[in-house]
Amino acid sequence: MPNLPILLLQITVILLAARIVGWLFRRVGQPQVMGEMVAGILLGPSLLGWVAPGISAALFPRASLGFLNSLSQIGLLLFMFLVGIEMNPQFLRGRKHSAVVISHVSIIIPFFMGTLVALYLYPRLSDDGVAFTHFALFFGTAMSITAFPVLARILTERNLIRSSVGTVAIACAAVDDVTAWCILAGVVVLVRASIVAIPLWLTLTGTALYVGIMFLGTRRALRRLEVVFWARKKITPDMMAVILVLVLASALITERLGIHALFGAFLMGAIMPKDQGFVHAIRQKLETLTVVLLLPLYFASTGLRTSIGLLSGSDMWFYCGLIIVVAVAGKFGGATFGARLSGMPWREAGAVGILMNTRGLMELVVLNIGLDIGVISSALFTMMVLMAMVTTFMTTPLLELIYPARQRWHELAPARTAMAA
Amino acid sequence: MRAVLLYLVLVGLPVLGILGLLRVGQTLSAPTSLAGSWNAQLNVPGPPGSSAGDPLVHPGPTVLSITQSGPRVFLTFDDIQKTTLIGSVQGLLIYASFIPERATDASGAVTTAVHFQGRVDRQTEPDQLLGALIFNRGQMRTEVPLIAIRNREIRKGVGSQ
Repeated sequence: MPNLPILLLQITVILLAARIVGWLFRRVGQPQVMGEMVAGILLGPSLLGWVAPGISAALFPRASLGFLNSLSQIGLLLFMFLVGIEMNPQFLRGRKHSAVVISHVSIIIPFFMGTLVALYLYPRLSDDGVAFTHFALFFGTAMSITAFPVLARILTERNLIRSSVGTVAIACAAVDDVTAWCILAGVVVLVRASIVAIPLWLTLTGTALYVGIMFLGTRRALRRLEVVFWARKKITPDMMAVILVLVLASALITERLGIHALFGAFLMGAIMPKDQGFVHAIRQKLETLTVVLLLPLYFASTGLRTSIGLLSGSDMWFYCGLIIVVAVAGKFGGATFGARLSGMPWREAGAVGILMNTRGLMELVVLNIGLDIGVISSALFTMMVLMAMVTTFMTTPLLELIYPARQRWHELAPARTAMAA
Repeated sequence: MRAVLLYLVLVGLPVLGILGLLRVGQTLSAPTSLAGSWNAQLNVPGPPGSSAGDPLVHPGPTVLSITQSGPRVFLTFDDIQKTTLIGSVQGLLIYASFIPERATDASGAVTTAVHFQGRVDRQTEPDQLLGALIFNRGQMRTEVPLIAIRNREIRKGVGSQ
C-alpha cells in the first residue's frame, strides 16, 4: 500500500519546485519545460540528496518511489498520446519531399556519429552484459531524437510557427519523431529479445499485425468519435472514458508485445482523427492535468535516477563533453546540411538545425527506456540527461543569434499582410 | 529524380557506414559485467560486530548493490550508512575502497577505511563474487571473507540510482 502522506508530500514538493524553477527559466527566455526538467534534477541525488541527504531520504524513501514512478508513467502515457494526436499529415503539405530528406538526414548523421563514438565509449562506459550492437544502436537513436512538443512550444512562443523555418522545422520534427520512435521500438525489441521470454518472431509479427489493425481498422472506427463530437459539440465524459480506455489498452498491448507501453499510447494518438476542433477539445481535457501535474512527476522520477556524483574524475567529464559535442554536431550539422541541400538559405538552414537540435523531454523518455532495459549504465544515463538539458537550453539563445527577431519580422511580412487582408 | 539521388547519397551512405561500424564494434570487448544486486554473506570472525567495530559487518546475509560504468564500479552495502566502496574491475578481479575524508569523526573516534579485493567466478550459475573486506582502523587491520551470489532477477538499471 502506498504511504499516502508521503506521496502527497512528494507531489506537493515536486509541483512547487517545477512551477518555481519553470517560472525562473521563463524569465530568462527559456521554455517552462526546461525549468521543470532542471527542477527534477535538483530534487534528486545531484543536489537535494547531496546537500541534505537526510531530507532527501525522508522525502523520497526508496520504498515509496514505486508509487511515484507509476503515477509518472501514467502521465507519460497520456503525454505520448497527446504527442501522437498532434502528429498531423497536414504538416507535410507542400513540403513532403524536403521534410523527409531533412528529417532523415538529421537522423542518420547523428546516428552515424553516435555509432562512431560508441566504438570509443563501449569499453569505457559499458560492460560485457550489453552487446555492442545494442549499445551502439541505442546510442545512435538517443543522439537522433528531436523534441517535437518542446519545438512546437518554442515556435509558438517565438511567433515562428507560420514562418518558412517554423513550418519546415515542425514538419521535420514530426517525421523525425515518428522515424526515431520506429527505430527505438526496433532497438527495444532487439534488446528485450535477449532478456525476456517472448520470441523475437512473435514480437515482430504481433507488432506488424497490431499496427496494421490500428491503421486499417481502429482508425476508421475512431472516426465515429469525431462524428459524435460534432453532433454534441463537445467531448462528453463517456467519450473521454472511451478514449482513455483505448489509450491504456493500446499501451498494454504494445507492452505485452515486448516493445514498450509508450509506443501504444503514441500510436493511438497518431491514428486519432485530425480534425482541429476534435484534437483541440481532447487536448483541453487532458493537457492541463498531464502537463501541470503528471509530467513534473516524471521529471522528478528522472531526476532521482540522475546522479551527477557518478561523474567523478576528469575522464568521466571528458566523456560527457564528448557526448554533448557529438550530439550537437550531428543533429545541428545534419539538419542544417539537409535543409541547405533542400534549397534553404544558410541562415534559415542554420535555424532549422538549431531547432532540430532540441531534445528536451523526448530524450529523457528514450534514456529512461535505455536505463530500464539495462542497455546504458547510470553514469551514461546521467551524461546523456546533461546532454538533453544542454541541447534544449541552447536552442533559444542560439536561435536568437542566428535567426534574430528583425530577420523573422522581415520574413513574416507576407504572412502578416495576408492575415490583415 | 534529383531528390531521390540526393536522398540515396545522404541517407544510404551513412547507413552503409553504420553497418560497417557495427561490424567493427563486434571485435571490441567491454569490462566484466558486475552491475546489479548480489546476495552477500560475510563470514565475521569472533562475536557479532567485533570486527573493527564497523556497523557494515554483521553475520548473516546482506545485499550488495553494484553500479557499474565500464571498468568503474560502486559497491553499496545495505548497512544503515549505505557504505559505498569505489573501485574498478580488471578482467575478473575487483578492487574497491572507501576512504573516510577524515582520520577521526566528530566524536574523536578513529574512522575506518574499508577495502575490498575479490574476483568474479563466472563458471558458476549464477555468477559468484569471492573476496574479502579489509577494515583498517588506525593500526588495527581486520579481514572479513565475503561470498556474494548474483541476483538474476534484477537487471542493472532497473530501479537503481
